[in-house]
Amino acid sequence: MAQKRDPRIDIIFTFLFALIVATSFRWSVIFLGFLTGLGLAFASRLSLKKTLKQFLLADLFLLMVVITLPFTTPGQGIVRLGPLVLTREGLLFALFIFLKANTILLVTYALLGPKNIFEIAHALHHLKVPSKLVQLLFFTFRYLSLLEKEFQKLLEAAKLRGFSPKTALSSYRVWSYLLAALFVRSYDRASRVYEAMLLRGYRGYFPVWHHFAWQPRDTFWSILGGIYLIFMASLAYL
Amino acid sequence: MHISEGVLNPPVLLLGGIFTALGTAVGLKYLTPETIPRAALLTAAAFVASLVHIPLGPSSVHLVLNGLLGLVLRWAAFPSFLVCLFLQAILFQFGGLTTLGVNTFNMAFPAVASAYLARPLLNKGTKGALVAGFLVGSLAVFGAGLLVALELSFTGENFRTAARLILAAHLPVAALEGVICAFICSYLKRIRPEILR
Repeated sequence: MAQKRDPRIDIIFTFLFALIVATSFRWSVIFLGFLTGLGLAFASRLSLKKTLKQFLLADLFLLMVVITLPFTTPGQGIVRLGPLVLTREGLLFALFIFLKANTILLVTYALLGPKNIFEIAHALHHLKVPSKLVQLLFFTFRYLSLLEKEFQKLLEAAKLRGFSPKTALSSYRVWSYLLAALFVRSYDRASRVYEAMLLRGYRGYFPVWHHFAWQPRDTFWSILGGIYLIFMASLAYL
Repeated sequence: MHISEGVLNPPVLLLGGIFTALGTAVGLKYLTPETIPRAALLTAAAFVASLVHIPLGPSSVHLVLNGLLGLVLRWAAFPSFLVCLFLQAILFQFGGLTTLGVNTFNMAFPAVASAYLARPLLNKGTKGALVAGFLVGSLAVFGAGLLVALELSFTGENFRTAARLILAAHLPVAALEGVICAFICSYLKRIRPEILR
């Protein structure tokens, strides 16, 4: 198994990178950042085609923003569509916002995507994120797939009894009762989880067994990442 | 709808971060060793519910259920949505890390506020729970859409059209969510009133 970097480095790097790119209005920053994202995605052996397909157009919010911007940004008109005028400045600005958003996504996806949530929770704990918040993250993720399966079971059972989802009040009533049943089950399971933890000596915090050991390669990555971020920040703000 | 990375301007991002930090601090005070697992499992349940696509006319929408979480978790809705959105940002690349503050505030603040308004109705029998459910469900989603639209308009004049479109897209979801939350609350009131206590 390849030696892993300390995940805290990746979390801090991703956050600062996102902050710099999000607050920058220069093409050079976005361009360099996008190349970095592609490089990182390549290095973490993600399938680039799948990755790009997954989020380039998946975001309805971004889509609405990017589609309206070319028409609402004042500038030199290129095409006239009835009352709408598509401007050159607007088109460029829309492209800028689109690339900016996807640059941050790409880097987040490449650095944090392959990590397991427990590893991230552990790193957040060592980054002094409040213990209650880390526990909330831990438990939420722990029971996510379990509750999802539970809901699929409830839905399956309803369908076997003749439920067919459609736009009708009667159908919405069934959806609601299924969801309410999921909530009741989650509530009850939480009591059982809490009792089971009490029996194992839970006192409101998780003692951490495994600690990160700082390695020479971590120093190397921190310095490299630091230099890169300083370079990006000066490109963005100077 | 979650705001993507790289759209809002820095002051809006900063304000969102500050308000969410405050809300989360208050919310964490409410959480005790006993209620952490409960809040987490209800958060996970709402997360699962948000993956469900419910048919609405020719299309389908997904639920948010932020109002319901506000009703059940009160201020703990802030840490709950923070966790939810963090997971979504990492697992599905929806929203993002720099918008975590703004997006959490957009979801949690209307949820907590509408829950405060609707809570007294919960003591008025099953009918009261039905009305309370409709109020929190629709107001919390409408409020979230309104906040997104305001933040976009504040970012720039040329974002106003997108802001109006997004607010309009929230209207049918708010109505549906009101109906669904009304049924959920009346069910919980009858079957397990202590969840709404």
